[in-house]
Amino acid sequence: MREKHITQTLLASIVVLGLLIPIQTANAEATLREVTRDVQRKVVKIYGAGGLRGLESYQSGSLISDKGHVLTAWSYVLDSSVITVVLDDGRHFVAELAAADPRFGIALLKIDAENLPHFSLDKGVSPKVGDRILSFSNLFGIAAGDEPASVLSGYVSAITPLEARRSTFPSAYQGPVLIVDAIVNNPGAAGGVLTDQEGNFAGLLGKELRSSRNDIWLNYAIPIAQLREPIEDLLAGRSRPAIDPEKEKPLTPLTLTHLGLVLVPNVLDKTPPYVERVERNSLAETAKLQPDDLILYADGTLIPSQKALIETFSYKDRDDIVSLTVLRDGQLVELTLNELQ
Amino acid sequence: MSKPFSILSCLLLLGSLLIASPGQAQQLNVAEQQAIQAAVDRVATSVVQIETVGGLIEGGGPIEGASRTTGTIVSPDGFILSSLYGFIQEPSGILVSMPNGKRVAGKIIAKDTQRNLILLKVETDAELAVPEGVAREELQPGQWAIALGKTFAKDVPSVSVGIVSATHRVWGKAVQTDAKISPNNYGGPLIDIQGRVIGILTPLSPQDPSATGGFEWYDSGIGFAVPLTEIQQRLDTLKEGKDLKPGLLGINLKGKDIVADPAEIAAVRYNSPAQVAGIQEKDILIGANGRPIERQAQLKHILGEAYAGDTLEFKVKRGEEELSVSVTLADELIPYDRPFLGLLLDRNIADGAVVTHVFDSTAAKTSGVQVGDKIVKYDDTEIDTAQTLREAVATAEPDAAHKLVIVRGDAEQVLDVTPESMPDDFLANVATPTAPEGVEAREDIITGDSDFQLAEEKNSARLFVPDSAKRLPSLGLVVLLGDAEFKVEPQWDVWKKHADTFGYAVLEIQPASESRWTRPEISVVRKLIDRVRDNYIIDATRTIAVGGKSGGAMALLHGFENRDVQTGAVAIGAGIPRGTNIPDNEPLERLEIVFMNAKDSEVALTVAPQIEALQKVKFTVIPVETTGNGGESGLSETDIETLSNWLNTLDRI
Repeated sequence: MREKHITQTLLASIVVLGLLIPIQTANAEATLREVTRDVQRKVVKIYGAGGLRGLESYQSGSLISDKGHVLTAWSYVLDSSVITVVLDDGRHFVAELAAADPRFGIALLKIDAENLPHFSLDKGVSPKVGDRILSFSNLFGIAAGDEPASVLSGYVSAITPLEARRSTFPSAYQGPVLIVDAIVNNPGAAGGVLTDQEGNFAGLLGKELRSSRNDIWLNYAIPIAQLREPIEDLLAGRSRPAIDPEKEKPLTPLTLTHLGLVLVPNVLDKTPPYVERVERNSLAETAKLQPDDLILYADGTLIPSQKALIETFSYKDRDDIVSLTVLRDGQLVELTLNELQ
Repeated sequence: MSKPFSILSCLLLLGSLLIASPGQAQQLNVAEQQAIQAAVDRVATSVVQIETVGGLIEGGGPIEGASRTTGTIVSPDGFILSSLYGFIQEPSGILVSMPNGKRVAGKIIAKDTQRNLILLKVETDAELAVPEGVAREELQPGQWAIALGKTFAKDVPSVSVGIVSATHRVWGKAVQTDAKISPNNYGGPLIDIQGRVIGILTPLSPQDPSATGGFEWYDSGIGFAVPLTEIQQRLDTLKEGKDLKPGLLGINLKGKDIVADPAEIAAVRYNSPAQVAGIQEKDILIGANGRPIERQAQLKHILGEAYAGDTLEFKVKRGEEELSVSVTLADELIPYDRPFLGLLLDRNIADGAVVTHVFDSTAAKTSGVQVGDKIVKYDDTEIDTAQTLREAVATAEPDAAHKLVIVRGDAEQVLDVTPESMPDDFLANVATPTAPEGVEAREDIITGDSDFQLAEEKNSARLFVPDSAKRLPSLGLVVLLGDAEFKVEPQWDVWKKHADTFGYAVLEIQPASESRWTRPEISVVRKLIDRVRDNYIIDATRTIAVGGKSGGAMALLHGFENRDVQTGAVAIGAGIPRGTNIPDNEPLERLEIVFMNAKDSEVALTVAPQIEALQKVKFTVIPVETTGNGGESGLSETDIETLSNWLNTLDRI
């Protein structure tokens, strides 16, 4: 009897739950649909230079003011005498390149239109790892005319500096990025928008890049928090010049010869930085480096090869204090170069 | 009594709240986000970043492996599981960032080469947090699955959210998920929504058992995790420093369609676990450890979940009888040394085995086999085609005398033969193929040059079929694999010149990128060869792939995996790419390998240990020096003639 009663109650609760969940889901979905449509109206398609050697001649952008300002990625697509912006409703505008900031890979376009739906960057959000995100762009150029931008759903995977080898990486920006688990960085997606579930601006989709660490394609966006200042500069008409990383190198850089440090013969592409010999009365000897030490870190940067060690040293002045971590007989040992005695 | 009511009222209250506040209609999404966060938080401290330093460079193949990978703590005293993928370059230093932020040196303890995992050990004073596992039986496809990695940051794990796609994949080795799995989270855990570990993320492939197999699916929605609870049962073995390896039976099965054909034994390897247990040719395996085997795929599933050293109770059908056989799987089989009689059979006679050539200093020569002899029996096996003789010789007991029954003139004779090993050398040249006398040229066979391409692939290809194809009963096939460094164009005409004489077609395939071959293109090479085989009568025993640089690596890789259509592989200035598993030499599948390198070149030095490894498992390997007058990496006319002569003897028995 009692058992039956509990069973009935449980059954009832299941029925009630069953009734509740569809309504609940329907509501959540309805909102997601509304958010999506609302954001799509603020995303534009941009057409410019390209079309040669497999380079796409299109990318994405977003409206960020009521005066027709379009935020997009700074790329060769904009390197054209005519840049066309196509709005969500299909209207075409010829855009003018107002300003650019190569440090962040961003550019501002201006079209002659007012009172368009736009993102309020003041409402920009900083999602956390594990938060759900939406991505809006014209990836692969599949939306044309008044077709709305493509929307992808996913989660923030990580927030991490955009990992770049300084000299060979095509991106000047090395600050934090939002890594997401949706495949958002496709041809044409650059300049698109990453939002939270409420449609608030969270980041700008960058150009297609491979990780310099493991060579796999990155799916990332530059967070709005990083972009606020440069965007204000752009809106004020202040462009920034590109930076040449070579110029950041000191005049008298740290070298192995200067240190009196001889590594094992560098025969392979990834020869590990094992110490072969330490010159007598040298800086390396003072720092207590020993033969057979494997140099693992210089100033906290992982040193995977001799090439990387020499490259890292080339950014240090020969008088800089540099901390080293070496592997000696299976133990990590901390050493310091140029330590003041 | 009141409990169900309170739950009910809570639900009602919650429900009414949700309905009543459309502004918060996203609460479900928010709750979902919180649940994910809570699950991640539960295991976050058990996920560590691993940095690797130094190591080998690759041997001509695609570069893989990263300097940063993820590990999952599996014991409080410092044992950590990771994916083999991050360690294929054999790093000289391993550093693990512990939950307290300290970096400590890690040591490799043991590997699981069946499921591509590795066990590391770090010294730790503090007790480490070990996550709870969830058994595979509790999983349902469609439930939440969250993949964690630590390659981006040392503190917060990276998160990729998806579902469980399947519970038993890659022959039962792993759970499949649609969360984005890549080198960014290999070695990390796949967890459920309660924060229990489903498994350890690693690339896996049903076709390619190497440590990098399946890497090409990264971020594609196809990812794998090796069930943690199953590895935990084997953890003690690994902790002792004993590698876990695939368990081998030592059998070949009849038929190629693994989802349709029953597990009928075509050949049993001598001195293998199957032979020791008494399994015989023509036996059908119908069950193991209480699980039925109706198709070969089910056997592969059972073996996929087992390891060397495991004992399986097989149910075997022999004729009308049903037997129980207990087999302990081995980690390696005594290498199969292919017995060699030393003769060639007449390719123009389809329904008999008639000797056309007897090689000097071979078993056949010693026992007195002569040209023109018709072989009718090998021990008790009736011989009616070249193939039946090839199989009979291949599966017979090694190092023993066998009876060869021949018909010479009108009389039957019995000869005693003791086959020897295949020599690791080019054999003497033999007569080039001739068409059967009086045969009409078949005009329906299209000869000459033609370009072709597969609709779905980028690789371009061209085919040359010589005029002799119209009269010969079958053709050999030379597959040329060039790349940016090893150009086929300068040699094309020489190959064409010899094609008519030696009776082979020439197929050139370009890499999709036109600069270098990548591992996933193995299937493209196979498809193009199949296309040629569909249109011409191609003799698989005289099909070779010849490639230089990355094309040489491809010739080897394709050969290893497609021995049913390829019998020779020629690698010029190339070796076996890192992370490739050398397959077993099998009685019914043959591959002879030629390495051509300039004397004392860097590649020759890299390849030397590979040749040794291949010879150790009894592959026929012929290392030769390029004659050097064929340009920097190309082949000279002499080289091409040598290879053509070799192809012409490849169907020897």
